[in-house]
Amino acid sequence: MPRPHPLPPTVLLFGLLLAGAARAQIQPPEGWDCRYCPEPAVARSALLTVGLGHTTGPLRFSSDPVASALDPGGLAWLDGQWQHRAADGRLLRVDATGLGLDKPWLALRDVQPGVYRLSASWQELVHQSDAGGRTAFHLADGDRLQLPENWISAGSTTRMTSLPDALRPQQPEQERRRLDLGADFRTGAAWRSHVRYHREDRMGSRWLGGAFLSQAAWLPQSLDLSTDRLDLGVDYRAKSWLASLGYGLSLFRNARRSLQWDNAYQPLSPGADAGELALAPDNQAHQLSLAGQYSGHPRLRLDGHLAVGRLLQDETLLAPSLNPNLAPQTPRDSAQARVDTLAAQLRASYQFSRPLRLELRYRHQDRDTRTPAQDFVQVRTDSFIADGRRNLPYAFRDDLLAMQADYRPRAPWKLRLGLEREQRKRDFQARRHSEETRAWGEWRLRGTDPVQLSARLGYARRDGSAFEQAQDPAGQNSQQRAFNLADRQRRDARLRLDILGDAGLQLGLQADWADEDYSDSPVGLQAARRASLGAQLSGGSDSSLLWLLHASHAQARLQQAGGPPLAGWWAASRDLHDSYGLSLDKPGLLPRLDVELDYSYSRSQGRIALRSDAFPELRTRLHSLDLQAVWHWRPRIDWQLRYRYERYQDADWQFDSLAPDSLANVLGPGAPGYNEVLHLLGLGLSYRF
Amino acid sequence: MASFGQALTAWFLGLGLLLPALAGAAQTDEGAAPELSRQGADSCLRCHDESSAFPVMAIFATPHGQRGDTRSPMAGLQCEACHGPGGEHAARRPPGEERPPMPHFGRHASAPLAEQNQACLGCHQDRTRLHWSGSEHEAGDLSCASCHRIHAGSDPVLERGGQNAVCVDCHRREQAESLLPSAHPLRSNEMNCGDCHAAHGAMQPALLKGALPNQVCADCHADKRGPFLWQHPPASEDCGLCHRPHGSAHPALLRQRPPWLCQQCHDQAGHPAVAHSPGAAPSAMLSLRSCANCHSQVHGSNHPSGALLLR
Repeated sequence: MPRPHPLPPTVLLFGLLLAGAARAQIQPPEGWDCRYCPEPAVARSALLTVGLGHTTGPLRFSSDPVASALDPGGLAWLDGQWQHRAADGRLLRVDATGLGLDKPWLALRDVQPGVYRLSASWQELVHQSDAGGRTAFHLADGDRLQLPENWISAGSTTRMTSLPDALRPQQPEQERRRLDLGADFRTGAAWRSHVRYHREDRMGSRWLGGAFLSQAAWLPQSLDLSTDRLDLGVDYRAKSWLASLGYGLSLFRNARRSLQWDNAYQPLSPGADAGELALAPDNQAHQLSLAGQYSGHPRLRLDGHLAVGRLLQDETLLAPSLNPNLAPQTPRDSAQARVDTLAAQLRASYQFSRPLRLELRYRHQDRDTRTPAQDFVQVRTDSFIADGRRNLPYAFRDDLLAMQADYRPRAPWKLRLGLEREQRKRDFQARRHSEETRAWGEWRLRGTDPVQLSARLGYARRDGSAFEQAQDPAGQNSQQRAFNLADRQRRDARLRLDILGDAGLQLGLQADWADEDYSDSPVGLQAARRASLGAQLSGGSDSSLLWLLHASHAQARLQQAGGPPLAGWWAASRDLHDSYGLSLDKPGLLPRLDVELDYSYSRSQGRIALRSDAFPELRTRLHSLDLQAVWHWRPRIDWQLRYRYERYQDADWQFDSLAPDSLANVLGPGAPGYNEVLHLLGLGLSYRF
Repeated sequence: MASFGQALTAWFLGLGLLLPALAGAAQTDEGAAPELSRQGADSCLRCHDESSAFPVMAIFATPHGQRGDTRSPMAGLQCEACHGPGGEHAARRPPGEERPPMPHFGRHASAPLAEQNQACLGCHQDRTRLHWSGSEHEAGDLSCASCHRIHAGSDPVLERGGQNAVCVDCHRREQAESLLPSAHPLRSNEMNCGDCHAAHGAMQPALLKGALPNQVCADCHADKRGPFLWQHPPASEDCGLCHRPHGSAHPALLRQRPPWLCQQCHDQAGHPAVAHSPGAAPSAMLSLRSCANCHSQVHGSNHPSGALLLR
């Protein structure tokens, strides 16, 4: 349920205080009567659409607000738009779509161009976030997930004899409700201010794993989350400079502190009958920012940005264990978590001459964890007391220096060269300091010619300080190199070609390639390669047939090594993705009949091999067809016919054919594989007022 | 390492000194200032009505065409407020003589990009465009009119449901990725590209909004923000280390499936070091969410006993 909050009135009050306007007068020259211009007049318009339809849904991957209705069967919806434009340009507008469906949207706008803009919108989004399945848990007694009274615990799922009778269907769904309020004001020619408020409530459920050592269960977690965001800002604009001051606040609240659940297995130690997971804690983020730009010199442009922020979280800590036999003390009662952030950037660009521009940029980022570090006795999954662990205040600082030169002679091409050096320092990680140097060049052909071409080559090399034994977690293989810290060489290339032909014919080609080499890592990621190709061909004009064909291919290859360095293993994976599509838009196919058609096909394949053994192939297939026809029956009345077809299939050996008790030590959801077909037929009637 | 650093310094100095020398002296365009047309918009609309190759009348339904609003270009220098003086173009000419072109806007337009964009930025300069100069879009030769439609009744890129179609006109790879089974809802326009990206320039790579990495992700995923008592360092550093934001064939938009994704960083004594081979019996280490079957608090834990992200 959305909770009332004091922020909206605050927002509006702030906005009203800033309201006010003084208008600059720009007079047209004498004799410019604009006799051919439409007379400024009050204009009103409205459009109302009533729709009825039927869907065989739900389909998890549907892209359509109507087709993604959660329940199959009949549908009825209302779309509308009302607009009023005053003679002085003021616009009042109301939009609504999908009223009556699972994803309604409503928006209001009041705009006086150049003076103020007020907006409000409401949106609901529903989606099935996880695969459906079955569970033996049910929510009772507060937030605790319980098993049936006659539940028979066992050491493995296959021996849980009461499981078949206890299973109930569970379909995780999430609903987001969003409220947005905004106000922008101009005060005089120099001042602008804005206020934004965003509220999001997120409800529903999802699967969450809970474990007792290596015996786990999928738990249906209930969600009741909310986030409030407030952004305030004031800009001052002078002839040659601009300054902006802003403040951002984000408050996150979770109505549930923890998730408790019954242990479905035979307890590994006395008292380990139930477990408790800490859920996302309430937290808040503050940020104050100052930005400015100077453009007073005809060749010099300076801009800078400074943002100082703080993240806070002080949730009361849970007990270290629900096990009454294991009750160590915690060194403090609440998290006292705090992170200070600092981001700054200064950029200068100088136009040395007409063809040459140089730019120098420095950026600093700092995320400094200020949470007190203390030793916490660890109760391992409510079963036994393990070693004490210190919560390490991980932090990083990043400095980037970049230089870029743009050289554009009196020719339809230009050359760009860039050089960057980035240093990153991290606390408490296996590598304290890393540096990356990047160089790139781009050649771009552009002009009035129908051909536009760009080609880019890049090279980057990362290295840094010696690897040390990470402080946490203990026991890490000393030969392991985390891929975000490891030495790396990266090469990339990109090509873009656009050709504009006669009669609106356009051809676009894109190619991307990137190769990352981690061969200095004895254990961990060794290589990553990505490549993609894309092509589009389109043609036609607004008055005839508009058409578009597109196709793309992408692949990613990863190689990694694991295990002891002398007797290790390696794995290779290859992901492929192809997509094809066709769009047709034919106004006036028949008298007063417009038709649009969109079809897309997407397929992916994943192959993973370990040494010489290959896992089954991962596959997805998605067909999507959307056909819309509009018949302009009367000057004010249109009929709209809509047919949508989607088919989604997948083969995923990590999930398929796994009953809840297929894994001896994971009580799973038994989610079936996807093989879904959706048909949607809708008929709408629109009336223009 | 030191030699590489020296080489880098030399590159910086070299580029800074060499290129200006190559570029030559600054050039200025001198000449008589062009004249305005005699009758302003009437000069234009006499030809550019709805039957012309460049119909423009729809602008009168937009803020730019409001004569009653003194800030609107149509209340001032009218068409020439943006297109520049049109005296030459609109002057009387013998039949058949070609008229000198007016500056027009768009990806394939003849006018220099800087001039096109300055026509817009002269009025539309504010905090959201602070980083436009030197941004990827500016350096990539985009003009304002590459994305915005001024003479249309409504500008698709500013309309709900219209923005993504404009972006994918160039960003085809991202469009293709949005068709993958695990993706942000870009196809359905429940999210706009502009929810995460600042098209007019940003501090972050890929024009991401926010002063720091992850900031824009936390706008919708504040439950992953923490700060937690027990952090998972890559989750605090950059969501993009594990996730592909536009779409993935793997669950939860992951770059790679667990356990291999996890094993790219974790190889500890015990089960993570094991080579999980395909076998006859399904393995808990490989099936379902793999590592996250147990280590479900992968973004961080606030439990006193949550050091291993099990609680």
